[in-house]
Order: sequence, then C-alpha cells, then structure tokens
Amino acid sequence: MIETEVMAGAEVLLLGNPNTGKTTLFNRLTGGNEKVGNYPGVTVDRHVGRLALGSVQATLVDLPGTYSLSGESLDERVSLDALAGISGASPAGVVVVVDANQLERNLYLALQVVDLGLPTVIALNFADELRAAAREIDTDALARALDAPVVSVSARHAEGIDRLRAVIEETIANGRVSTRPWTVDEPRLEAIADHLPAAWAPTGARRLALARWAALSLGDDAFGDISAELRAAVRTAAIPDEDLIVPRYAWIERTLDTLRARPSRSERRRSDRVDRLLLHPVLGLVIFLGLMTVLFQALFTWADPMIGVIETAIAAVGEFVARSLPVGVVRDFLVEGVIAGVGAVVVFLPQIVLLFLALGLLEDSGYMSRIVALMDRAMKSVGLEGRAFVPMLSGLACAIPAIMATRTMERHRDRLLTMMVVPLMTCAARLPVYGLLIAATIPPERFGGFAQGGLLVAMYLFGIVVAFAATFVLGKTVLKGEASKLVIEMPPYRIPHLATVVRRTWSKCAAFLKDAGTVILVCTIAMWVLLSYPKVDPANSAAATQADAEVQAASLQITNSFAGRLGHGMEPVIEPLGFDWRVGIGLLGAFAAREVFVSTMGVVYGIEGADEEPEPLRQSLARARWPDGRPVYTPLVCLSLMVFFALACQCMSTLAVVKRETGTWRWPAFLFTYMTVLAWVMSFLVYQGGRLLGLA
Amino acid sequence: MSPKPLDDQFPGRPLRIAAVEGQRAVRRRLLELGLLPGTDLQLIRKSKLAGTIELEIRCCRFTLSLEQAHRVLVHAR
Repeated sequence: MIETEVMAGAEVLLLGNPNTGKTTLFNRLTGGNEKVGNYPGVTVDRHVGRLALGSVQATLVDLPGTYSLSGESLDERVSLDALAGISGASPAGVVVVVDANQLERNLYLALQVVDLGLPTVIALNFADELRAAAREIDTDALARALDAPVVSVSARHAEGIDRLRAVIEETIANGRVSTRPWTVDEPRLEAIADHLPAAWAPTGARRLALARWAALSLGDDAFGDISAELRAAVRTAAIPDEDLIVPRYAWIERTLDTLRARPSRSERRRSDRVDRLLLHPVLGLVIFLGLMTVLFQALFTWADPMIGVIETAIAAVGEFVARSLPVGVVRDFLVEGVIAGVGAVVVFLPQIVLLFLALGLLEDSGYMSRIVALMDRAMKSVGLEGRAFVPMLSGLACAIPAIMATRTMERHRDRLLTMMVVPLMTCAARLPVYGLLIAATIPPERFGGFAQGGLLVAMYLFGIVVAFAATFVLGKTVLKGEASKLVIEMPPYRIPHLATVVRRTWSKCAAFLKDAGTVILVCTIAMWVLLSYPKVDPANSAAATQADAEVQAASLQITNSFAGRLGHGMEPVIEPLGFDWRVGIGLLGAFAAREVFVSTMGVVYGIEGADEEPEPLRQSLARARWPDGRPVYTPLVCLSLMVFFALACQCMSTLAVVKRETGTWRWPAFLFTYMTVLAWVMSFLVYQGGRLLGLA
Repeated sequence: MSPKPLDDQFPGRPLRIAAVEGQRAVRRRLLELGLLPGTDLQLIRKSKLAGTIELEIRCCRFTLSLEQAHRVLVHAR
C-alpha cells in the first residue's frame, strides 16, 4: 500500500549506487519520518518521507540502490518507471547520490538520469572521507560539465544538508533541466525511439533516453508490459551493449581527467588491513563462524526474555479485560480472539528487531558483502546465491524474520526460492513439540541415555537436509533458473551509522505490523472461532472439584468444536500416518503456531497448564489407546509425527508474511500445499515403512 | 601476446582488460560496472576455497566467481 496521498506536494526521487550512504542521506533530508510500502505489483520496498524545503513541502522517495537503470532486474525497472513516470506522475526532481571516492563508476548512473531530462541535483557524498584522504573535487567544474548542480555533502556528519535542501528547492522551483549534449550519439536508436509506446510520452530528451534503455534492457528480460512492436524494433536495430556503454565511460574518463579527479588506485589501506584478517583463509572463517553463532544465539536465546515480557504483558491485559467484563461472547472474543491475536503478532517483534539490527550492521559495515562472497559457492551448489545464507540461518530461529530478510536479495527468483524453503528449517517453535513427543515415547531407560538428544539433533539435521534438497528441486522445476551470477561489490569497511540502522529496523517492524500483522490477527480470531464454537453445555459433569469440572468442560468443548469435529473427520486421512483424531485437533490448533500443539493437546486430554508443566500430559500421551487397545503414541508414531511437524507448514504467520513479501496469495498457497503434501508422504513412508520393518 | 582469462592470473600483477565474454545479462552488468576493454584492472585476491576472485577497477572493488572471471580476458600491462 502506498501512502503518498497523505503527503501532498512535489515528489522528489532519491537514487544512487548501493553503498553510497543513500539511506543515511534520506534520513537526514526527511528528519527520519518515513513510511514504507510496496511498489504496485512488485516486492520492492518503497520508502517515502517528508522533505521540508523552506517554501514548499515535498515528498522524498528512496529508490532501490542500483548501478544502472537498464537491465532485467526488478529494482532497476522500478527505478526507471518512477523516474520516467511510466507507472505514475513524473517526479518534480531527482537527487542522485554519488560516492566521491568512486566518482568514475557512480557517474554512469548519474548520466542515465541526467539524460532523462529531469531536474537533477548531484549529491557528492563522503566529503569527509575525501578530506581525510587529502583529495579534492572541483564541484563547480563537475556541475558545469554535467550542466546540473553538484553539492558536496557528508550524510553521516550532517554536513552540507542545508545547502543540498536549498539547491533541491531551487532546481525543482525553476524546473531546470541539463542541456548537456548526449554522451551516446547513436543513429540506430532512432528506429527504436519510433516504436516507443505513446503512454511513455516519448518526447524531447527522454525519447532517446528511453530508446537507449530499451536497447540495453530488452531481449533477455521478463517484463510483461513491453509491446511486441518495441521488442521487434530492438531486435532489428541489434545495437551491441558496448556501443551504448563505452561512450558514457569515455565521457566520464575525459571529464574526470580534466578535473584531475581520476585517481588510478583506491585509497583504502585501513580497509585492506581489515580484509587481510576477515578474508584470511583460516582466521576469516573462524571469525565468520563466530559472528554467525552470535547472530543465531541472539535470535534463539536473547530474544527469549523480550518474548517473555510481551507474553506476560498480553496475558495481564487479557486477564484485566476478562475480569472487568461480564462472562459472554464479547469477553471471549476480546480476550481469546483479539488480545490473543495481537499477542500472536507482537510476539515476533523481538526476533525481527534483532535480525534487522544485525542485518543493518552487517550491511552498513560492509561485512555482508564478504559473507556473500564467502558463502557464494556453497549456496550456488544448491542453486541459490550467497545472500540466501543469512535468511536460511535465521530460519533456524524463526521463519518470520528470515522470510522478511529475503528482501536483501537482488533477484525475484532467488527471493521466492529462499522464501519457499526457509520454513523447512527447524524453527524454535518446533522444539516444544519435539520435546513433548520425545519425552513421552522415548524413555531413556528403554532407549539409552543419548537417544533423546540424538533424536533431537537428527531432527535438526533432517530439516536442514530437506531444506537444501527442496531448494535444489524447486530451483530446477517451479522456480527454474540459474543461481544469479552476481557481481558483488566490496565496499570499504565503514562504521555503521546507528541511527540509520535503527530507523530502518523500525520501519521494517511497522510494515510487518501493518501488513502481516492484520492477516495474523484475523487468522487468530478465526482459529479461536474454530476451537471454541459451537458451545457445549458443561452442566452434566461428574467431576469431584470445581477445577476438575472446568478442565473437563474445556476438553469436552474442544472435542465438540468445529476444529474437534474437523479433527474427527480428518482421522481417515491421518490414520495411515499413525495419528488419531486427538492428534488431528492438535495439528489444527498448531496452525496458529506450532508450539500451540502442546497446550491444545493439554486441553484435549483435560490437563491444565500443559505447556508449563508437561509431565502429566506426557503420562496421558503414554496411556492413550486406540479403541482396540493399541497404544497411540508408540516411538514410531512419535517419529512419524515429528517428521510431519518438521515438514508441514503448520504456521499461519509464515503464510501471512509470505503473502506480504510476494504481494499475492499464490505463493503462500503453493508453500502450504507442497509442504503439507511432502509432510504427509514422508510421515506415511516413516510410519508404514516402520510397520513393515516390524517396528511398533 | 594473446589475452588470457582473468582466473589464471595472480594477485598483484597490473592487468588490462582485453574482452568481456559470457551471457548477455552478466556481461552487460560487468560492462556497466566499467569492466570495458582497455580498462586497467588489478587482481586483489583469489580464493580457490571460496571459488572467487576480487578485483579493483576504476577505484571500485568487486568479487566475481572464478567461472565468471574465466570470461574476462586480460593482458599484462
């Protein structure tokens, strides 16, 4: 959802190469207030903020960091559409952030923007680093060459921001456009320009600029909105890519040579020293593993106290509301539906916050590029790029932040593929389920001291192996394509700008609460209805005490609820896996969150507080019998049930987040279907195979 | 002297790009990043283990896989 409506005024776009401090500059210019949305139809974040410009109020849109406007990737296409006003109004102006240390490459993108004939301001960032290196760039001369204003800034130290504001205001006020002669004078472009769609308003300077874009981008793309006519024109013209790229760089080289701003080597002695350590074949790997262990530990353990606080607070609010309202549907709806639902949403925040703080620090320090380079080969062996490593690792704690983290990947296909397999990693919510089942059916006195721990480790490995196998298979079938042959930029190491990282983390959380949160809330309320209706009259109970009566009533209630009936109805489907209808209810309840399986089974078996004190439930499970007297929970059934939990998509929050990240219900539907089918088949094989082998 | 693939080179040697080959998408990306024929290039490090090569061009550092680097042809300066 885009929220530009609320912020009136001219729209200014902020564009730049990755690692140019663009986000920090965005925060400086907007004062940190921003809204995140999606570009229509694509999964690219759209950050919009208020830009106060003295006399006018404008909005600043942060475009994705790109090296070029051409190319077949989504980020670049989104940028082109926004700049050229193809999917909306044309912007009032553009600010291009360039890295003063790497002017030569950064100007390539700036030239593409200037060519589009938009009022453009160049922000020359890292002025502080330039000074520290005793270098100087003649901004006036550069401005004359580009015929566009150039302002020297340091976003990190808030240097030159006011002047940048003033120049932006002036530029959009007089709508001044560069009249610099084109760097690419290519007669063959005319034939392409004649076939540009009228909706792109191909007039003036932008006519040839758009033709240049088409010639460089079309052919191997998957864009759905390009006319066959334009494609044919590009094919016929057959302009080699270098004919459009070389002249730009030739212009840049000439210009920077006259400015004496073209150093032959980069000045990064300090960064090189850090790299000698962090990319050391042995030490580098040790440090990498150490850092990843810390990250994993943070998500797995350090988030726990915060989650505990949230759960306690939600429980307190629930209790307060329960005490202040009369018994009835309204109270139940508020307490068990709405408040529990809000709890189910905010409980994810600690892990999201921790992961995105970590990602922000890794990304901004420059270390993420090194991780990607280190892991690229390993990830490529299953058909993914190196950037998939961090989301996959995070999936071992929780799939929700992990799926949100796939945004850092450049290609749509890689993002989707990672989202489709991350839920197979053994997340923390599966632990209580495994714990209960292992404890109930694998007593150490019968199977040996290490059986329980060994089985738990085996389940973790099983999840990882299946996740990688699924990556390999899905990557060859449903999401066909090669692992992207990424060229990874290695920026110099920099101290992360903490305020920027914190703000981006916050905006991620806000987006999660707004988009995925509402879906999770609605699902929780739906689950509540399923588990608590229709109501049963608990009057005829033979329990000895009031407490027993309540517990028995709850058990009676759940078994007679919609979910209970569904569980009964499901029995023929799950019986071949060794599960009875009670397990069926547990599986349905676990859809709210996997760990809910434990408390649902507690309610089903009429045991109070099963998630805090699991021993009575374990005993009940061990005593449970089929009508013919066979025990329900044999070690084989336990294994079958754990395999089911390892593979089934028993988590509505995962589906809600995939919906938010992909923008359609198609992918969550696919995820749910393939994982459930896989889970059923594997559990079937385990249970029936085990029986054939004579295991109970 | 005929051009040699970049993945055969050793760090430290000053090189110059002779040609960039390969699939269009990758090749275009490399060209747009400034890896053009005639451009000076330094090999910063090569890791057989990670299967990558790091290079500097126009004051920028990039990591490429060895397969990609194989399609960048260079000669000594």
